Amino acid sequence: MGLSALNDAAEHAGLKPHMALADARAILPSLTVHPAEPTADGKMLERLAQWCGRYSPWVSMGSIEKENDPTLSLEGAGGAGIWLDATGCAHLFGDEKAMLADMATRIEKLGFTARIAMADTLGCAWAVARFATNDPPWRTVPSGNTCEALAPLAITALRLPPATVLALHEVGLRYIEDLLDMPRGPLAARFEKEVRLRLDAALGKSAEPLSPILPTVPLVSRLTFAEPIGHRGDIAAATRKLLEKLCAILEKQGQGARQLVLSVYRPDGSTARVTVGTARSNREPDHLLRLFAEHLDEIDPEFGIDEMTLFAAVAGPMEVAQTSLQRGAAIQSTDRFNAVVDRLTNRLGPGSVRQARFRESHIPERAAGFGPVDRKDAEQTDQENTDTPRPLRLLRPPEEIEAVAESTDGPPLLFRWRRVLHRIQRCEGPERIAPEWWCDDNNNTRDYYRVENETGQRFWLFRNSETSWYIHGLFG
Amino acid sequence: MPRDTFSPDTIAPPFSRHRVSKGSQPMEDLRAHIRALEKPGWAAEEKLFSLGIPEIDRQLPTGGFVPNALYEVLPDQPVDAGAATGFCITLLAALLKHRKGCIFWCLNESATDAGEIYPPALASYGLDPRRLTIAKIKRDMDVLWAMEETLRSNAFTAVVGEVKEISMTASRRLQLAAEENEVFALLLRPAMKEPGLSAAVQRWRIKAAPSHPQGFAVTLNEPGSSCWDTTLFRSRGGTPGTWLMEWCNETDHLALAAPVCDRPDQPHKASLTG
Repeated sequence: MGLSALNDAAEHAGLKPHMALADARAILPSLTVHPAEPTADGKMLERLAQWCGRYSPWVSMGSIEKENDPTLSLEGAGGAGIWLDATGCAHLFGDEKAMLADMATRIEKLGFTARIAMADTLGCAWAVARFATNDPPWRTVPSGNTCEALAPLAITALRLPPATVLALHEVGLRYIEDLLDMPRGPLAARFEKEVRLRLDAALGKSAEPLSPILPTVPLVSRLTFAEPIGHRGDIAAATRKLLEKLCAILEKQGQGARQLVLSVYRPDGSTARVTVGTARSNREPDHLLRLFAEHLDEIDPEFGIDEMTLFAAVAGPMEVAQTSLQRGAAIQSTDRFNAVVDRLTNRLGPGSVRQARFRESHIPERAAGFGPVDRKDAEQTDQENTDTPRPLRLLRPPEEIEAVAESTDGPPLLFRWRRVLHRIQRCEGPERIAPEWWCDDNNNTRDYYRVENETGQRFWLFRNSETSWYIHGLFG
Repeated sequence: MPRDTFSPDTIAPPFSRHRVSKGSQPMEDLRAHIRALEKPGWAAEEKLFSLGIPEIDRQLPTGGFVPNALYEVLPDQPVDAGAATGFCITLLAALLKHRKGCIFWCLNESATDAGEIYPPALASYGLDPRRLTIAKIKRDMDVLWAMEETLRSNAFTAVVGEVKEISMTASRRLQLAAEENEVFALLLRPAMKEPGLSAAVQRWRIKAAPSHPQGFAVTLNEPGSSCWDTTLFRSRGGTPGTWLMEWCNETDHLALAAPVCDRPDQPHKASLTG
């Protein structure tokens, strides 16, 4: 068992990372030990890296070291940190120093101790952050001063494996300035290539790319034309190409598009865009193209289109298999169903394709209705709980009628709806439905009557507490 | 083809082989052949469905309702919209009784003006509301487009559209789409005196009829089961007919109802007292 990370007090007592726990206890008997949780640490670091997205969109976790040397922990001088490419970001916070100060304060508020450095190269920033910052815990290396900043630092600051550092120490090379003037050839021959690579990277003589954890250009495909295009057929073909490219990207990420935005750019700088949505995540170019086909006519190419982009504005994980869309008796080919729902939705408008929904309520218009296919209501239930007859067609909202009743609380005798007089032959009721006082302030009790007129039409009438009559539906 | 090349051989009847038969056999064979010719190719015997009323099936040229064709239902008066909807639902329920599948229903406020379908009532006509997908559409044009799109999608077993105006061409398109994709298509139209021409294989006019309450309902004077006065005013290859139907909620089936007769509501007191 060994030590993975230390706090300042332990370091002052002379403990070092990777030291055996028994040795550490011998040096410092009062040592408090907690088990190391590398996975949790990694996750925390990732969350912190995402949080750093507020400073720069180009954030990466420093896991390079970990790959080279698995014994290195996340903490400590050799451990991982977070890289930010802050090019062009500092002015948003005033200047570079203000940005770093802000960052240090905020990270401290989050409960972490951070050391921050900003430099021309990743290597220099790494070295300065770990070996040349103390108070304040941040430092900026002015552009062009990389060499000067690095020179007084120990060789360890070059992100070298411990064995290499030891070998360099043996020949008396202790500080980076010792290495600066040495010819690169013998250095590479004597020590591993690593020393030269790290040194050159830190000095900015060789490039060191940084891959961000968040892709800044997500799920987008682009097509630029040498000659502006204008034919509908050309636009359709280009859309198809874009879709194929985008679907390949989506497939790599295991995602499907929920909403796609097709933008066209004209040479005069004007743009046009078309948006389509899908009911479920989808990455079938053929299907998506059919959705666009409806809207391609809306694109006016004017004097031509010289660039087109397709952007998956909303993407979601693909549902690989789905046994049944609805519970109960309905079994259908969900693929075909989704495809047709998408086409209908794109022409008729979002939310126009609906399915039956039931809710725990006694108010007829609230108890059942139709809701969008792709969204489920939180308070919906599976069952309709009515044994009493309900009309086949419900008028929303109920229409006020003139009616004559036997008495103020008796059944209706005749009524006039849409200028037609109906004499009631048979009548059933009242079915009293009390208001739901807990969810609305309309405290009108309704007395429902199922009535049949002399020609056999059946209606659903109600009288509210104010004795006005309404027709609410038609029976079959 | 010039008149003079018109030879009897070129139009030799396909059933010429029957000439060799003797007795009543040729007549029977001929009748069978004519029946086969008259019976549309889309009416496969095993796919037919029935409302459960043999009298109607007998009157249809195919001996039952064809599942892949266009039907049309009209209410007699605007207030009969409920009855017409009820008849549509029983047709759909009969279709889906022995097969799986879903229904697509285009609601069109501008056409029917009688509110929207209310899911809880569907179950009492034998239809599971969860098998229903609806679209709320404002224009007839969009309804026709949506119907054709869903008919050709193979995702539904039945497609219903509420349409006010439909041209012969549009209905022909729907009929072809229904036939090719083996989908049941139904047009529910508002009440109108002159509904125009239509390619639907059957056109029904539905009118509500006074119900016959039974048991306690008689004494309480409550409405009984739904009764519809139905008229099949166009039937492709068949004869029109009129039936009085009654939806029996308890047994979940449609039956012919006896017309109401006139009789005193109470027995003669004289006969009781002697």
